[in-house]
Amino acid sequence: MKYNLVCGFETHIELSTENKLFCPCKVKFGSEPNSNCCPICIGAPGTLPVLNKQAVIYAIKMGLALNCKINLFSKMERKCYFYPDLAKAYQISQNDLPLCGPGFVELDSGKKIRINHIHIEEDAGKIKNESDGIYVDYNRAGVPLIEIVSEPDISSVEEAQEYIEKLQLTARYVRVSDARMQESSIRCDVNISVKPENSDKLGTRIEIKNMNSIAFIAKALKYEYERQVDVLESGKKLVQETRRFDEQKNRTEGMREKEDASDYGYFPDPDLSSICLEQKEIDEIKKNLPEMYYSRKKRYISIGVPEKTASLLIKYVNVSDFFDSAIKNCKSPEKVANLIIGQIFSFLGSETEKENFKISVLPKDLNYLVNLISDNKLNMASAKNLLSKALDNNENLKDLANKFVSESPKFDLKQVCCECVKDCPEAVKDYLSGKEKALQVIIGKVMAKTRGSADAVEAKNIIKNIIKEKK
Amino acid sequence: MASKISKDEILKLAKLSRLEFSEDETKKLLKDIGNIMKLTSKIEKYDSSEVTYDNIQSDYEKPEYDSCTHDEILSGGINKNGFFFVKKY
Amino acid sequence: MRKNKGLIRKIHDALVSKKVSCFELTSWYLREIEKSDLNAFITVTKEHALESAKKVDEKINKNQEIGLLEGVPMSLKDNFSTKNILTTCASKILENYVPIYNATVYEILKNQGCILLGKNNQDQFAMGSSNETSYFGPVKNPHDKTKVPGGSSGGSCASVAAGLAAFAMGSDTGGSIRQPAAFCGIVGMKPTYGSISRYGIIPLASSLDQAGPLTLTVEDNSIVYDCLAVHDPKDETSCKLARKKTFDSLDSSIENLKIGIPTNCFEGSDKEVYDAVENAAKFYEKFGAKITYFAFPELDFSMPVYCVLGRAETASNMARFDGIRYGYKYKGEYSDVNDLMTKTRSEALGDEVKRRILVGSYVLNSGYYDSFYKKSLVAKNLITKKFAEKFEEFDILITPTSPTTAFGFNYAGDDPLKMQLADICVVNANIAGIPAISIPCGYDSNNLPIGMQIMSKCWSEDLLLRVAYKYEKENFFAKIIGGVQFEI
Repeated sequence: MKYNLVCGFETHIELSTENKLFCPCKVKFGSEPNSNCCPICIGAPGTLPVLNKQAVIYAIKMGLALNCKINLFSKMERKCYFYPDLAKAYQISQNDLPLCGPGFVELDSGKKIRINHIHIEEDAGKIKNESDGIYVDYNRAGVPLIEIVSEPDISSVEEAQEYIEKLQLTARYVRVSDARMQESSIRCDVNISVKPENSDKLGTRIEIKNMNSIAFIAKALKYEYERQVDVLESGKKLVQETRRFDEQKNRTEGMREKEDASDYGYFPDPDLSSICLEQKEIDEIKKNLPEMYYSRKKRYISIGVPEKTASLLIKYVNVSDFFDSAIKNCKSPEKVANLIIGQIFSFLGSETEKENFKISVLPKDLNYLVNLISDNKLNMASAKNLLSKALDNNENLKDLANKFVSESPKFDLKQVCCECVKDCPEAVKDYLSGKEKALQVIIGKVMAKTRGSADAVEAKNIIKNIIKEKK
Repeated sequence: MASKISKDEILKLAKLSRLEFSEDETKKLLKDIGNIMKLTSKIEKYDSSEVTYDNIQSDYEKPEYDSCTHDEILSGGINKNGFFFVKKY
Repeated sequence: MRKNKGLIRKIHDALVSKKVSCFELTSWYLREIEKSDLNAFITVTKEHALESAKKVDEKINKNQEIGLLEGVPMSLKDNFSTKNILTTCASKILENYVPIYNATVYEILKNQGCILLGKNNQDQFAMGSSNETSYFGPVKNPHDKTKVPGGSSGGSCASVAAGLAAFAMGSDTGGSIRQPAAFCGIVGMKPTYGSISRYGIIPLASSLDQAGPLTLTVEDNSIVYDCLAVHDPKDETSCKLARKKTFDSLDSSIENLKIGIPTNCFEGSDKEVYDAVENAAKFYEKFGAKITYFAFPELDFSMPVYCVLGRAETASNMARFDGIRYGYKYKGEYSDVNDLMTKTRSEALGDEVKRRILVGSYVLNSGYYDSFYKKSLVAKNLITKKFAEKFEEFDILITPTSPTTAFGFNYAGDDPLKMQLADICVVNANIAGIPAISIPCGYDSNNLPIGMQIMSKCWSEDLLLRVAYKYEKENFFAKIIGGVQFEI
């Protein structure tokens, strides 16, 4: 019997707002413990929360980018449970009336993974478990989060990976979060069940927590799918439970601590007013949303960038922004793209560096360089060298290019080709008798005469025409 | 609507609230909750879906707060290396 | 200027005319507090008060102008957060808690130049109507020390009535300002919900709590209210509208008032209370007022709504007390952090507190009821609507503040609900969010004060105080028993 994977995600994304969700503390990372705290986020008695509107706007941006309906009226609620990292012993979150209603993420295949809703909530602090005791740090307590709850539409491990990657991309493109799994600015809990191929009835749902990378999510899903199928095939029943993924052992395990009763006692927070939005506010935000990665990819392909290259360009929003800036009035966007994913990516190396894309080269300078190639002032090989030099030595690319061009031998390519054709009668004879490769000799001579500055492709065409004419 | 609450429920609620009650206190609580539930049976007839909320639009002005030092923040707990510390036995 | 000045203006005059220095005045109050056996104070801030008094004297000696409240000695109920000053809510779990920030109310009064004498005793976490649930012992009623002062702002009211403070601040969730004010024979007002900032007041039920002044006269109440009724951006429930000053219109005329008397509130009252309040209401007839008795059946829902909403919010508000970031920490061994929290809370939270937490938890978590909390919100909206309708018919409503005068200790015995039902007249104003004031309107045959409660529609504190002022002008019953004496 074949079993289908049924999977849905609850994804938390930290918003990169200036301040926390309910207090004036800055959202900073890597600080000394409890140094970004105030009476409000440590839950001092008598303090009151005040909603950070910037967080609401960020959440709306994300909702719009995920095709969600934005609810004009929503309410903050208290989710009550005890844990040392929860300063007030309740988390201010949303329940019945979340900020965003249903939406979707479209996968490359065209399949839409539906989103049930998105709500905003505050993050808890961090706990360090040592042998002598528990160490609690509330720096993260109160940081704004959005929780994106999907429908169980995901039916393969690949779809799951793609879904998370697209959520990350979306968050980065609307610039509400850098959504990095290794920094916990995006966290995923997955719900997975299996069902027989021909059945409509959903299986027992198991939740998996504690997966810190997309690779681990894939491993956990693969393992869990097989485990669940094994259990069912052996005639046993699955227990609805929460499991954690152990990356050492490469398997999921039942969690040791018993989860608290899922009785969170939700009720509307009486300290906070309702969130009331006007349609024109939302329309204004929508109007000013940056162009999404999927539209950009389409656009790049339409201007001549190969699909694989386009995919790489849109993988990093800063790269895509740089590219868009560099191709203004550019005669050959494809060349710009190649230089970026070639020279510049090699220079940067790591994923993080590519994401940050902090380079000394300016988009307009890359634009200038490529236009020089199109004007035949420079060939691609030279351009690549110049670019690498600019990056390595932190030199100004435009200056380097201008210097190179001015020092290059000025030549009339047609004239040089004529001369070289005259100088190589043997090669011409070989070419005319069908040896295409003979042209290389003549091209070689042209390159030598122009000290490598000539465009080899262009030279080849000119040489062919000369030979044809001479005939 | 259930008009009686069981001792098990009291224990469950106590655990949820991180409270412990003696046998005597539990008996009292059973009685208390029973009385309160009788009193509140009057509002059982209302439909919770009819709840409406004030449409108060907050201006979201940023309040000014006095700042607190790192020491002040930690002053109420057990400060170990800047963390709030809970000993393990 | 009016003839009968209230206590605050009398103090102001005495300071400005240098009849007494602020330091002397403050010292008198401090001495009386020390001598007193009422147990009205948990913390006395002696050095702090004298330091503040000296600063006021410096200004006076330089002939600089001082504000009306500058140099006036006052006290705060111990649920108002005061930076670097112990704030206990009369509970063991906060017996060592020193806030690192100020409540907005205290910040404002401090900026006005008031002298903080200390923090008043109260019912533990404001739960109670007799000041007997305090971890620091009960408070005695100055009129009769075998009787309770009422609660939960028992200490604050006793202080004002016993001349231990010129005025005090209390908080009112289900009558906790007005009922003890009635028992102690002073003026206590709960303003409209959202009127005074709740930032820094350790909450009981967030949607019902409101701070209010406890004073000897209506004029004093008006002065303190006016300076506190301002918008606070730190409190999202704080009203943004500019409020009318009430002091300037206190003596304006109140012809032809339409007075409503809800008969349900009078049922169950002691006869002497009933008669006194009814007579007090009739006072307004000489200004052309018309009194109408009417039945107000919706009030039957107030107590159940109060119990459900109140306890649910309370349970959630009390959850943060686990000893990790502040407060009492359990001193014995425990198996894990959950055990630590449980032991800390079970040991250091009072019985009434634990009881209400349990009920609140039941309301929020029981699987039987679909959003029981939300049903109460529906009922609350209904009561609010009904009050709004009544205030189209009437200008004010009058009821007794409490069905009895001050009762003896252990009145409710083992039945906390009996204690709760003593609040039957006052809890309505919290549910509907409307302003309500209690003013003394006589004494019973045991010389215990009787309080009349006047309610008006939201944001009409100016009318409320004016109506109260009119009555007080010709029927002045408040008195200072012992303590620092002033002729008022």
